[in-house]
Order: sequence, then C-alpha cells, then structure tokens
Amino acid sequence: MARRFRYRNTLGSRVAWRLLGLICVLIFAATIFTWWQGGRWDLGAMPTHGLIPTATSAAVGFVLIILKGALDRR
Amino acid sequence: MRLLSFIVGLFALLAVAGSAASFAYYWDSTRVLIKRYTEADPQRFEMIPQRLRRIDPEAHLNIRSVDDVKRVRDRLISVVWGVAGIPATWRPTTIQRNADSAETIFDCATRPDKQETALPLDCAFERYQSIDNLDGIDRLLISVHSGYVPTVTHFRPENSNGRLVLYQHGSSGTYHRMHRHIASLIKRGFGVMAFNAPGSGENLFPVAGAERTIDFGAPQPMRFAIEPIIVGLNYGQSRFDYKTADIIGFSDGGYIAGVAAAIDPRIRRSYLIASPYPIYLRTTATEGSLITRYPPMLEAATYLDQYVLGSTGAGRGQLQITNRFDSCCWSNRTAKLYERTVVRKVTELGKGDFSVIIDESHAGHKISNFAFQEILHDMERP
Repeated sequence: MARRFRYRNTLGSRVAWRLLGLICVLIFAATIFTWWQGGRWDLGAMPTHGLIPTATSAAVGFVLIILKGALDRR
Repeated sequence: MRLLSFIVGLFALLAVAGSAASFAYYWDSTRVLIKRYTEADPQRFEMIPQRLRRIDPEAHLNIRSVDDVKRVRDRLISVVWGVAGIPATWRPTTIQRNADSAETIFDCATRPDKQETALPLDCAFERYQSIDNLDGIDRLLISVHSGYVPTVTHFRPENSNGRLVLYQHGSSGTYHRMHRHIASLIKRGFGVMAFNAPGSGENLFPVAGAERTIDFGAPQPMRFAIEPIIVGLNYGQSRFDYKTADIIGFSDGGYIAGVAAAIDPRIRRSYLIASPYPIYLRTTATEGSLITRYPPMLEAATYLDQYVLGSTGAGRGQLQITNRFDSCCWSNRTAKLYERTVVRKVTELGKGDFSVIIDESHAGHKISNFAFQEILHDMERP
C-alpha cells in the first residue's frame, strides 16, 4: 500500500522553497528589465500587456513563499 | 497551521508556475518559438506558396532605363498633385515654436481624444521631457486641401549633426508609440520630423462621422499622405539647413515613406519597416489598407518601380525590414522574392542600393531594437 504523503519541514524543502523564491525574484527582475530596456510602449522584448501578469504573479509568488516560511517556523 | 501552510504553499507554486509561463509567453525570444510552433497555417511563417515563388518579379517592373526613372517618377508626381513637379517651395501654414513650453501647452485633461490609439501631441509631452540633446519641439500645421490640416512634429536637437530623419507612422496608433526610437535619434544629433498617417492622431478630416477616413473620391487624395512629408522637408531644409534627409516608415507608413522616397530624390535613404507587400504578392485583392492599393498609383508605377525609384541615385538607398513572425501582417520571408530583381535593376541604373532584412527577433508588429540598430548602422554609412 502506498505511503500517505506527509509534508515535513526538512532542510531539503526549505532549500527548495528558497530556490523557488529566488526564481520569483529573477523572473520579476528580468521582466522589469526587458520591459524597461525596450521602452514602455511595446518596443522592447517584453510588452506592457505582458509585464503586468508576469511581474504580478512573480511578486505574489514571492510574498506567498515568504508567508509560508513564516508559517512553517511557528 | 499545517493545513494553512500547505494551502499557501500550493498557491505559491501556482504563482511561480504562472509567472514562469507568462514570462515564456510574452518574452520575445520564447514567444517566437511558441508562435512559430503553434501556428496552424504553414504559409504564415514557414513556407512561401509555390504560386508566389513562380511569379517572375521582372514582370512587375516597368523601369528599364535611366529615362524610365524620370518618366515613372513624373507619372507618380502627377497622380499625387495632378501637375508636374514636386511643390518644393510650399511651406507649413502655421509654425508653433516650442509647443512643449509652459506658455503654449494645451490642457490635456480636457482632450476627448487622449486615448493611446489617437494620442495628441499635447498629451504626449511627458514622453519627450527627459530626452538628452533635445532643444525643443515645434508643431507645424500644413494645410493640404478640403480643410485637411495635418500636424507635423519637429524635434530639434541641441547639437545637430546636420541630418534630418522623417518618421512616418502607420494607420494604427500614433508615432508616440516610437518615442524611444525618436529619443535615440535626437540623442545622436538627428533632427526628427514625425508624421501620423491621415486620419490618425490629430490628423482628422473635417467631415462629421468620417474624421478618420480618407475620402478617395476627393481630388488627389494621395496629397493627404504625401504632402505633409514634402512640405515638412521643404521647411526643414530651408529653415534649419539640414544637409541630408532620410525617412523611416512603419507599417502603412512604410508605403507612404516608399512613395515619398520614390518621388523626391532629396530623400537619401528610406527604411520601410513591416511595410505592405507588392500587390502581386498579396493573397487576396482586398488585403492591405485602401491607401496601399489606390488604383491610379498602381497604374502609374508598380511597387517594384517605387522601390527602384527610392533606391537609385548617388548616396541613395532603400532598406526594407520585414518581421518574419509578425502578429499583424506582412509576415514570412516573402520580401526576399523580389530583392535580387530590384538590386539588379538599381545596379544597372548606376548608383544606389537596395536590400531586405528579415527580422526574426520577435513576434510582434513593431520596429524592434534589432531593426532599429540596423537602421542606425545603415544611416552611418557615407
């Protein structure tokens, strides 16, 4: 019988979450940079209508990862 | 607490996955791959139909000799103005110096037309506020005919390199979308004159309900598009002593810029970006806007004739850049089909050059940074 999955706050999981947090920061920074570099009016490699969903979801992901870290420490 | 942590973690994972997917979808480098491999029609980006490949471009070129250059150019001029010769002495009706100064600026808040697609200059000054080497912005009003008075914007550099760049925008939106490219030119010392297409931005026709539509039943309707460029150039060369003038045209503006370069040899280099294809390479008779298939113009000169006219002459040349994965129109590598024929004809006629570059760096309808660097590189040639 398969073992029931139980999440444990191990060193490995903490490192994994930090890596995900880092990915969020990198995506956010890369998005802002490519958008700003090309100009705000869709001339660059990231159009304005792409900036908003990408940067927002990266920022939300980062905040949630921080929140999860805080919850796990309690 | 553990359940809450699990839920927060789940949403965090979704957000990370969403941001990564969104980045891949919108970032040019990955977007090209997505657009390319999800496109169902292979003829849009990948294959050029055999039907078009079999057409001999030579059959769509009427210019055979140096004498033909003058004859075909005169025919085009005659369609535009109805008389022989370019109106080289005509000047703007009104010149508003330093239109961006506090004394002359209008209140943008009261403008009903301030949305991005029709943005008037009064509502766009903030985009030009911190440009290096910008001395001032002048507004020129040019009375064409039938009450049509388009606005031309002249960006004066503080330290000029003695060269003028005319920028003609297409039928969608305004040249303010290109403010970064305009800023790059000013920074390099170029004077820039920017033109919106007839019916775009502030260029409205005095016809209730049809302010944004060219009346092709009016006498010499091509004047609406071409005359602002010629009169702007007259003003720039007489008043500011610009030694050379180059023109950049985007989308439908590429067609207008191509015609202007064809009829006026004062325009040295022309850059047609994401510009409409010649009629014989279009898939349907109604493809492209009306201005690009106005019958009297097509009777006077074919598209290939116009390319030759715009390219031939000492120091002159034309560079066309098409976006292979263009999200709007004029995609694929179709422009390569006529490149060799036009190059051969321009070489036969003497000096001048013509080339086509396919921009594969993005999947949008725009002048990419890659394209703009190619333009700057070409402008730097003697």
